[in-house]
Amino acid sequence: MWSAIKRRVQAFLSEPKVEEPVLDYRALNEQRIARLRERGVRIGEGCLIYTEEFSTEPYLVELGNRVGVAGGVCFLTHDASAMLMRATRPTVQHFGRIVVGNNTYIGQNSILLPGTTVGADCLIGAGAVVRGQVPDNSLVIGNPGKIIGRASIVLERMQNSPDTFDSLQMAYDDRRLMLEKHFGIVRDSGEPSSEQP
Amino acid sequence: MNTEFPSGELDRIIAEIYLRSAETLTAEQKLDEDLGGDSLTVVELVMAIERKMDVKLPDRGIGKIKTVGELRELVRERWETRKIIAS
Repeated sequence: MWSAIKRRVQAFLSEPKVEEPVLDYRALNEQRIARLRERGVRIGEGCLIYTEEFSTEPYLVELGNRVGVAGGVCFLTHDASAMLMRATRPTVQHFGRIVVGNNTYIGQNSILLPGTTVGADCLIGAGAVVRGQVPDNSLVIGNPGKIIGRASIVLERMQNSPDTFDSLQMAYDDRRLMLEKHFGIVRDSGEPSSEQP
Repeated sequence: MNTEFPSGELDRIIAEIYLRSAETLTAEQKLDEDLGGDSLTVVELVMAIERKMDVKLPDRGIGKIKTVGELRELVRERWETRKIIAS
């Protein structure tokens, strides 16, 4: 029995180790946008898109330039409740376009319902359920999504926040060290991160 | 039109948004750290001030505000400007 275990351990140790692939988010984004354009989504320049939930009619969705779409966001281009009319109209369906203006950000797990138009320079908060017409520079949060004010106020506050950094180009480890130090996080080793190399 | 800046009304709005008593507000209190808000709270505060006091606050100015005292100053300044234009 011991020899069998020893053989398995040796076999495991002798297996070639697979390097974790380094994710190139820019390349993944470009690939995703190319796939979505093939499916008919109209996408402007400079967009960053982390979802592929563009419903069964992706060609009804249009995104402007520099639109950010976080993970889990869902664009719904049809209202499946039309099925409730199928006793009298057996093949009935209902659809709506979704249009998003330039320089707008749509937060994690938001849902945009059919017939929604979001203006330019808007912020859609995480988890918002958005419908209807959203004017330029709106901040929308909640379910049902409500316009609570100007998106530009949030950006001005963020601009002046001590928690805002120019860190996009930093290496992962450098950013981790910086943030641990900034937020006073001590690693499990017990040493404050600022003392680590 | 009132000629005196309605500071009590402004404090009531701040207190209502941050769920505090207006009497406990001090000029040194920081909006985020001391009153417990975030950028969304500030948006709600700005919209409430603009709606109830009929003033327009500049986004850039709001972005730099840290304390209740600084906010009072900014609103007072905008309210005075509006009063001059109106008269």
